[in-house]
Amino acid sequence: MLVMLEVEEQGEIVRCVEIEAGDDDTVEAAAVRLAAALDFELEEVLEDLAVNGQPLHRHHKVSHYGEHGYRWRHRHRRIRVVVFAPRSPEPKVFFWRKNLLVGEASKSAAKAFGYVGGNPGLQTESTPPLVLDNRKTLEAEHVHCGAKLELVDSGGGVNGSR
Amino acid sequence: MVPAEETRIIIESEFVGAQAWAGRHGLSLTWLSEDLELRLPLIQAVTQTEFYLRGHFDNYRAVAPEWTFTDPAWKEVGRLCDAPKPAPTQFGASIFIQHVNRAVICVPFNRLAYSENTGPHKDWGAASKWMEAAPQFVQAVTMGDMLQVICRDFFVTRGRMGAA
Repeated sequence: MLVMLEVEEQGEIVRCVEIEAGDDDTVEAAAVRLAAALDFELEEVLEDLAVNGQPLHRHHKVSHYGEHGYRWRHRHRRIRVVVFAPRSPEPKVFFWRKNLLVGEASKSAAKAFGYVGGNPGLQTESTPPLVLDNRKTLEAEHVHCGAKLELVDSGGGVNGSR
Repeated sequence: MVPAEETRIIIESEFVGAQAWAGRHGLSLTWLSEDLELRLPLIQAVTQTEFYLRGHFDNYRAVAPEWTFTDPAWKEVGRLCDAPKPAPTQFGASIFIQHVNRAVICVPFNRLAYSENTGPHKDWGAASKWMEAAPQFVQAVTMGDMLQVICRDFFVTRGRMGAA
């Protein structure tokens, strides 16, 4: 059967993927493929997975929930962040976990834009911009869903450091 | 020597990103293709004083560009009165320094930071090695990234480095 997974974010469906699943497949086996299609982590998907309001259990078979249909719902806890880079005219969109460190998010964004090395950081779009602390989580740095950030090198200046 | 036409082709590809960056920050970039010169007027947030950032890209990318603050006519370079007074940043020391009574933007992507061009850094080797120099400090290897770093430290400055 065809299993459809809708990803809900702040009450809205933001993504939708489909996979083919067999009657004997477990929810976990189906979730592995759904997670891969979404580029999410398996545990993250299983954390909040339901069909027609009924929570899905990883060890049950997919067919166990057949009476509810095969339109599954995952309320994900990631935040959608739009990242700009000074070298590119177009931004890129990332779905990051709230507890991801800013430093890790920066590195992942920098890599996506083709940066090699350096000390990637992220700054807000405010005037003047505020460079986020690489050691804190996105949540701790008040990065909300839909936030727009910009890559900036967070390496120190040379004066007085030699 | 890098032929000027080759530099123009490289710059034109980088300028698209730099221009988008400037637009996001409400800044107005001017690229003088004939002179391989970039101009960016900047206003200091606290004092509302205007500064004039100029980049010269001859021989780019074989050597780092030449970044300086100039007078309003975009001619005089390195004068303390044309440069912002450095202030500590959240990353440590400012990139704006005074060296032999001249204002220098002290970053690996500025050829004027190298001792072979009267800058303070003998330890960075030749300006042709700019993309590998001082990796522990701030880095930028495209026009947009360089502007971002310079403005990062500019935004926290207050006043001028020296009197006119």
